[in-house]
Amino acid sequence: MGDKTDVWQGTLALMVLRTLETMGPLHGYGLARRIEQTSGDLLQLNYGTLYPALLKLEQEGFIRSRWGVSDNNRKAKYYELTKAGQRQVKKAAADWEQATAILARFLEPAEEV
Amino acid sequence: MRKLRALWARLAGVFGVRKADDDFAAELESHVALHTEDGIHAGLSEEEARRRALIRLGGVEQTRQVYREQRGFPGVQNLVQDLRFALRQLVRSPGFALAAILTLTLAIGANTAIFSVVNAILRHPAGVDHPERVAAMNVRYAQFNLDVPVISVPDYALAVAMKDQVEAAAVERSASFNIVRGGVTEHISAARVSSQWFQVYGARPIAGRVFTAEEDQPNTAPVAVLSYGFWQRAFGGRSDAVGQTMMLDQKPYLVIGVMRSDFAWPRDCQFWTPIALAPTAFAPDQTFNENFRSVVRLRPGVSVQQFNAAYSTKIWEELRRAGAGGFATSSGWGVYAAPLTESAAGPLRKPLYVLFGVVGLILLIASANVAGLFLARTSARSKEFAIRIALGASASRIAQQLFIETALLAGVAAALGIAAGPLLGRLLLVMVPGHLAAGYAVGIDPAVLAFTAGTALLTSLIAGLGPAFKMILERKRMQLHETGRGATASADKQRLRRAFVIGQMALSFLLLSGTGLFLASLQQLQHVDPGFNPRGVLAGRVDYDGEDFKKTQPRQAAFLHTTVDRLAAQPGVVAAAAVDPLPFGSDMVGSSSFDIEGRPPGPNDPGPHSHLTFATPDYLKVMRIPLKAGRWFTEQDQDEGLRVVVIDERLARKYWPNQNPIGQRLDSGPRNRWATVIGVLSNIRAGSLEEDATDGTRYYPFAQATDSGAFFLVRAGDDPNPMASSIKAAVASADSSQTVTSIVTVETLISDSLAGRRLIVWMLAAFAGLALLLAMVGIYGLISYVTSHRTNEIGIRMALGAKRSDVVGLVLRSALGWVLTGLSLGIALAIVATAWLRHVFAVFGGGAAVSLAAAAILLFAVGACACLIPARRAASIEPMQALRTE
Repeated sequence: MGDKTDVWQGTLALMVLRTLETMGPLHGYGLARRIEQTSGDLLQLNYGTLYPALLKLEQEGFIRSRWGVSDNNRKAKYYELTKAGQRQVKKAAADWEQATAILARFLEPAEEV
Repeated sequence: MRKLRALWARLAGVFGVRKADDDFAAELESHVALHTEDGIHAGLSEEEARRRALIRLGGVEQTRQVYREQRGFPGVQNLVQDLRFALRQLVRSPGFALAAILTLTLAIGANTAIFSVVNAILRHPAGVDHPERVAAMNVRYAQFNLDVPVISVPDYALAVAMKDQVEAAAVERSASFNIVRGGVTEHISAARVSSQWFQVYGARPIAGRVFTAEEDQPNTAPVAVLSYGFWQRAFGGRSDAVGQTMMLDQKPYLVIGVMRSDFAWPRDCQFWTPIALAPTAFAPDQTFNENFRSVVRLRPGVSVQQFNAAYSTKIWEELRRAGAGGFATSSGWGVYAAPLTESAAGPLRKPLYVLFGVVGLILLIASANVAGLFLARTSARSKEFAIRIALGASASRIAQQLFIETALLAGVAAALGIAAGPLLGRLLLVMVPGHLAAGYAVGIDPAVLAFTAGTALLTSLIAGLGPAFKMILERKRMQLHETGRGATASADKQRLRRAFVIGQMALSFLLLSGTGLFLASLQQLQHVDPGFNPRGVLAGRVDYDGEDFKKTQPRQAAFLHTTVDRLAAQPGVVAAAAVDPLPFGSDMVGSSSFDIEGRPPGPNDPGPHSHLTFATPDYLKVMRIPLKAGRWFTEQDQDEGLRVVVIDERLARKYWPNQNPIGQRLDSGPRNRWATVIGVLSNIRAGSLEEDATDGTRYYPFAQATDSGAFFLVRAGDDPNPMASSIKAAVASADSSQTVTSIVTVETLISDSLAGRRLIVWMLAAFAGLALLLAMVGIYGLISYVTSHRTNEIGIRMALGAKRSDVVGLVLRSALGWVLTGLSLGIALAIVATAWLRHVFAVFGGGAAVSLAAAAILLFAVGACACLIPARRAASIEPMQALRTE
């Protein structure tokens, strides 16, 4: 497990939103597993931190939740994107891409001046 | 928007906590179940799978905690929790809660009551829009020691012309009219005002309109704006009153509007009618004819000081241009504006400020008391705090808990205070003697609410601060074992409480000695000799009615002569007379400059000046004023005869020191007729027992003067009140067009002049009693608490042979030590306060030593009694029992 990284501050919300956008409604555990899979099992997610993040997104109106039944007949709370959430994914993704692009320029090997 | 939405969701999350908790517990449970299932699929045992699931979750409780913090506001939730806890605490000790709430309610209620009165009278006089921009004009003659709230028409015109600073300006002269209603002639007071009068106060009519500048011109058809009260009385509040005509002094007045009920400027005014000043009134020779009340509304942002500076510059320019600066300079003349809020309260102003200070002290004492109660409880609850600290509560959290408890108590007290305060305030106004408070309305408005809330907050802070402070100081020492046996709550450990008790003692002493001082000053004033004997004298006022009557001297003289004769002939009447003004009878006292024959005033000398009074021959007999030299008027001093004047001793001494003034000649006014001094009368007080500020009086016979009205006086035995009907009948039979407006005994008038002082004494006595009670409760509580914790020690002492008296002495010694400390502090405070009050109140500070000594003895006796009960209880301890309960 030693080579797995923790989730960076502030990126969890975007991961959640993006995962919900591609996968549709998911319950908390499913969401956590899906995020780990998407990261190629490189991320070490502390499941406990996922729920406050979900609550925050729900308070902001980007996702909504409802109780449902899982594939193997268990009661679970499902989260899905709202309209505002869909817009937010686009916006946050664009912001993030810009931020990484800028950072990438700094990290590129020094070119001939 | 998102932030706002999230904030709202969190706020909402504060409530419905339990349901949300259950929901999240279910979600976590489902999470763990799903994870465990996955683990089992991967080949783990169920137990191991569940263990791993829980580890990955990072602990159920921790997750719930983080989740909870995101859901609501932990601070607010703590607050709600503390509030619930505080409520439970208080419900569990109802006696304590009741005592604290009662104490605080008394203090906050008293403060709300006084503030509601201060607010109604000093801060925001009723019916005035933005009162801070309204100012009343005054004139001052420094050389004559004269400062009166009237100015002249040219002075007013100057204020009107200062358009860049003055939004509106108006003059007013009180007037009175006779109106015939239902066959009965009624005399009603009114005001002649210039057209901007209502604009200055920002008052709008509820029906009709106010008059225009065109209607405020001489020789226009008279119009009137009715007061709400008069509209109700005379027109039954009918909506068609506007447009009707009423006959006043046999002249038709068209009613054009009705004012709001709260507009009463000037007071007791039944209606307003245009003053219609003639152009001659604005002439420069009228500059010193100061007979008009005047008010101005300043433009926003213009202060009274700015206006006064600009006005003063301008008026002196005018004077110099007119060449009239000489008299103005030599007499120390000046015109200035003073905020309406200062002049509106009149004689109630000083007493109100004193009372406001007093209730402030009461608030401090009550806060100290509640703080004392809390300190005692804090000691009793130290185990609870120790446990909370051991479990990780921060000092600030416990301090917050304490503040919430005091705030809760103060909140309840504030609610009660708001309910009771304005009622008390109204009661206070009713109690105010002598109609000083007539026309003021006390009510709840935002300022009163804000004040009460502020008071409650302040109280809870003061009361909570002590215990919280002590708690934080002792936090380090506070360990669980400390509250076991051996925790002797010695007096040393109650240092803070002791300080509170000493402070209470000092403040109570201040109030007690203040009451004594004011009482002494009141007694002193009541014994001031006004220079005449008011006992058994009844006075009835007649304001002359009819323009013709007001100008015709022979008609006035005949009316006065007939009325006085008929009164004197009544059985039971010792003597009858007429006078104007009556000492203590009117606010406005006439005064004027005069010349002495053969003594022209020098270039920088304003010349002689004095009050003047008109009277009939029997005036001295009625009032029993001693004549010092010469003679008084007789029936022979008639209009066509020798002009005569009587002066008082003050004038005689000032202008004829060591000479005989009799036979000298004086002159005043435009009529330019010399009057010969025929006698010297002893000095009398004109309107105040507190100060003797007049610069002398000249007396003229009514028979040689015209005036605007008179007081008829009868002296009749001990109780002159039954003569009231005789006065009315005599006036009506002498001239049916004249009516008596008010009848009152001169004794009442003098007593009313002390109304403000008496109010202070009553209120101070009540508040000092309250303070004494609170202080007594405070010291009693402290001593019984301390002694009850010394039971063991006392038991041992007694077992070793201490006598009961020794024990009583032991307890009393320390207790009386605090009382004495409080007393000395109080004496120091009282000396400072007396020195200050001496500047504010005339005739004050007499009998200071007696007042201080009496207050000290009273407080000491009460303090000793409060200590004696717990001391005796301590002394009745059975030593064996005390040791056994150990």
